Amino acid sequence: MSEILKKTSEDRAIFLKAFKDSIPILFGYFPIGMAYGLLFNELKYHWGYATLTSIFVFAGAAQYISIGLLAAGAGVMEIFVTTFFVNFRHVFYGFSFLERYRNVSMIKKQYLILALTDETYSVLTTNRQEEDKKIDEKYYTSVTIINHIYWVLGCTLGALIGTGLEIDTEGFDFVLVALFVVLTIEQYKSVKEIFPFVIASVASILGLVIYNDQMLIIALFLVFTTLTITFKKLKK
Amino acid sequence: MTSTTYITLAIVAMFVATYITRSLPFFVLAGQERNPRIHYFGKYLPPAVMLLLVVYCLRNLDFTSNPFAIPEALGVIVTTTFHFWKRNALLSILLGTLTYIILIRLNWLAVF
Repeated sequence: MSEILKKTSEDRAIFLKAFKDSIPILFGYFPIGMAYGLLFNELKYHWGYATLTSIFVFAGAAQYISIGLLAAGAGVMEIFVTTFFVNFRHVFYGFSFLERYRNVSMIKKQYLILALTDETYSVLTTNRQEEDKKIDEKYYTSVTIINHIYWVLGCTLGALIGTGLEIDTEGFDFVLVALFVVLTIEQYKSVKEIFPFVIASVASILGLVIYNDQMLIIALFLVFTTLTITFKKLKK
Repeated sequence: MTSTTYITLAIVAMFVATYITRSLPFFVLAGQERNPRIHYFGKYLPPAVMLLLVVYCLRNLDFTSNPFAIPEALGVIVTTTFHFWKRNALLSILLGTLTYIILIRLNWLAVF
């Protein structure tokens, strides 16, 4: 009996820690999610689609960009490709979790992988990992689910509020620009070199000049090629 | 296609694209984590892509006619300055966005 009590109080402690560590995420996800919901409302779709998107996509940057694409009636393929490139940096997040998620059951693992966002990544890599693998598993599962709930709540609320009131959302879409600026600065703080930004600047200018609307794909290609060349030069 | 089909397909497309990017290291690239090329790209690609995304969002800026992209420029400057100063993501985003919203609603020229 006391064993069971001890287990549940331990579980509660883990959950509370996860909750505490995720509070900064609450302050980020909720307003940004709401702004997304409000903007989504301009598309005149049922608010439930905002909820569905926040559940199954769970990617702030991609969701914001999708609003512009949907408003312009962009093809589904273009939405797919743009989302892929916007989220491309997430390819590298998983590497930090290969070992940590190794023994998790398949279904749970799929969920954890799907919900690995910038913010979840930063919470889980910043806070010191638990020694006990079982405890750690409960911890990062809790963090992931909590973050996801915050995001879904924010997006849903924003979309709901938008339906009721006639809010003038002119200018709200700048949230995306500001978010990207902040993420770029955070990347700089982490990589501490201007090299990647120099490459990106040149690639952007060339992309804009060559074909303004598709500059992202062009610039990405240029960046990729450049890094391949500089890597080869480094290896010599 | 109906709008319901469209938005549903769009969500599916976004879901698949997101899932592929996040699961690549776990499935296709598993075992490559010590590969120096992966490390190199992992180090320099994310920052480069982030800057590309900023430019992508601003690609349609018009510098030649009123308001001459001043709201965007100031919005970015406010966000950047505040973030380097206080390192608080939410506040930086809030202040930058507010700057932009205020500037596009005022005829900023009237300020002078």
